[in-house]
Amino acid sequence: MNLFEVKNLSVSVEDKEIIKNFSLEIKPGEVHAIMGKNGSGKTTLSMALMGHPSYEVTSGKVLLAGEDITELETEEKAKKGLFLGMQYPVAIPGVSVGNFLRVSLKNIWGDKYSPLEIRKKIKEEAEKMKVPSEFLSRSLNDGFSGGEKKKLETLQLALLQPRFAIMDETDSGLDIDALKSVAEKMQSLRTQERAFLIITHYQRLLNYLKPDKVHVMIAGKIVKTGGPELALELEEKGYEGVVPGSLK
Amino acid sequence: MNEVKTTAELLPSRKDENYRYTQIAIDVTDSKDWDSEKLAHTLKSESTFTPWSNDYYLKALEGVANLNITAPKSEEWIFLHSQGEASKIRGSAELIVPKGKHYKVFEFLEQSAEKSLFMRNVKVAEGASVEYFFLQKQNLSNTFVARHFFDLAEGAKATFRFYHAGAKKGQHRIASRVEKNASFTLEGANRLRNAQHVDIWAESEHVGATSLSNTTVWNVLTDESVAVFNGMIRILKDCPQTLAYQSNKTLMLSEKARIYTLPKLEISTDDVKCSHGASVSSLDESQLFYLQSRGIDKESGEKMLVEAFTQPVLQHLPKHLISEALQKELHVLEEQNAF
Repeated sequence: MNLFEVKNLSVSVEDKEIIKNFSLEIKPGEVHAIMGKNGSGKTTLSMALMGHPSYEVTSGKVLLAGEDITELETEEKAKKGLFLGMQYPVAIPGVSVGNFLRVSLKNIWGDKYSPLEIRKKIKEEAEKMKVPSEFLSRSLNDGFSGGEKKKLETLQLALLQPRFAIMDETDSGLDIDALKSVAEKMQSLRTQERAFLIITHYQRLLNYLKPDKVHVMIAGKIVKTGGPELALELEEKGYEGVVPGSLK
Repeated sequence: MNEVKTTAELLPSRKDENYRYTQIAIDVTDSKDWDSEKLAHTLKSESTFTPWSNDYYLKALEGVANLNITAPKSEEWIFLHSQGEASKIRGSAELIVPKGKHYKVFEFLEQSAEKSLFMRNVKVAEGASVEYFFLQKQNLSNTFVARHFFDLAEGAKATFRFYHAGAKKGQHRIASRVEKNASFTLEGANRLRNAQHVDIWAESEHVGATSLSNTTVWNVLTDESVAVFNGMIRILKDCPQTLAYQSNKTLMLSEKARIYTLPKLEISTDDVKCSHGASVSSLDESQLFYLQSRGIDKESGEKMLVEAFTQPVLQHLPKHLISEALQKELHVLEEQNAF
């Protein structure tokens, strides 16, 4: 059975159709990558999958472990095990990182752990990922560098342990060392029960996190699918070289 | 014998720009603390910085009627606490921060007298500094007229923070007179519900060069509540290199709530840097989405965002001086926030 499946999905933003009849199947344990030029609809896809109110699903279905989650509220999707690592994590001044993580984990885990245990887990994971402890008392995504924000997204990925994670350009804004540690963290979370959809512009993340499949997305549709070698080919030849006519 | 007047007569009418949105009638006839003539004089001369004369005040540390004052120990808060049914009028208090000293003051108004009128005059001597937090959590049927004056000598520094969560109707004037090299920071928040109406009248008057003032007032308005921000930066002649900022931010959570915001500038020196502005918004959809995407339901997410809005003020509240129940109500309870 597929762990994650998108069936004939169409998405509109302000009445403009961005994603057109999009389908994708991902099996447990797999890592898929979507590559595509700016404006090809990658972020629209990820936002729509997570249920952002500005992205309207006009037709199609989204299944997580066989269950139709298309119409669920965003928080319900998260509780079912869907995760979106955002391209531009929004700043929320006045909500501390630590407090936010604690409330988030309490919602996801229910009464499985005591507040004290939750706190301990956050501290331990932050330490493992070399996230400075003072970050936990700072406002969420506020005043952090692009790289630090992506590190916080990855910290959340590690803590929430979702069944299916969409990582939208998690590699952008990271320096070489940060990219390596984020990629290694993602790789360490790669299990037979979990799957990933990686949205990226660059080959470099895929060096660490070897994908099972690479999809090329143009104008809201997947136009070509291949193995990891497709990412290398894109790097070398560009989109026009791999998908003739894509510049149109 | 002088004819006894009520404050309704003494307070300027709505024709006065500064009382345009808020007219409060408070009967002061039964108060021993007040002298009608002086009060009338004071209220009528409010258009410029005019602190009440010194002899009119009781020294704070000697104790004021119906006001409990805890004397300062080093590094501790001076605690002005008014509560109980006692008097209708809280009276006035003066606080002097001597040269080179740093005081911290926490004033907590939770009394249940129906109407209150009080004034505080804070004089900060050369090079001295004060950090002052005023928490107003009166019954929802109360009305108040509050005045906080800050007189900053050369190189003095003052930060005044307020949080209004109670009362039915009130006007709060915060005025500062900022001398050369002195700096005044005003950060306040109004969290209003039902038909609450709070009018903030914030003035900074710069009287010396290279002086600084920074005013920010946050409003969170639900139901049919009304907030007024009447802001004024006044820079007198010969105050070069002065920096003065003023901002009013409002989060509207109801279509019936109202905000009247009037950030104003009066500048008589050329070489200064000033800004004034106001913003009104509802909850940010993308912030809410972010919280929801991490499993936090919409209602809890909205609560978090509302609390976050007034955090710049509440994070400075000396929590240990209020009850745990109130800490919980204000969402500042240690276990809720600390990490």
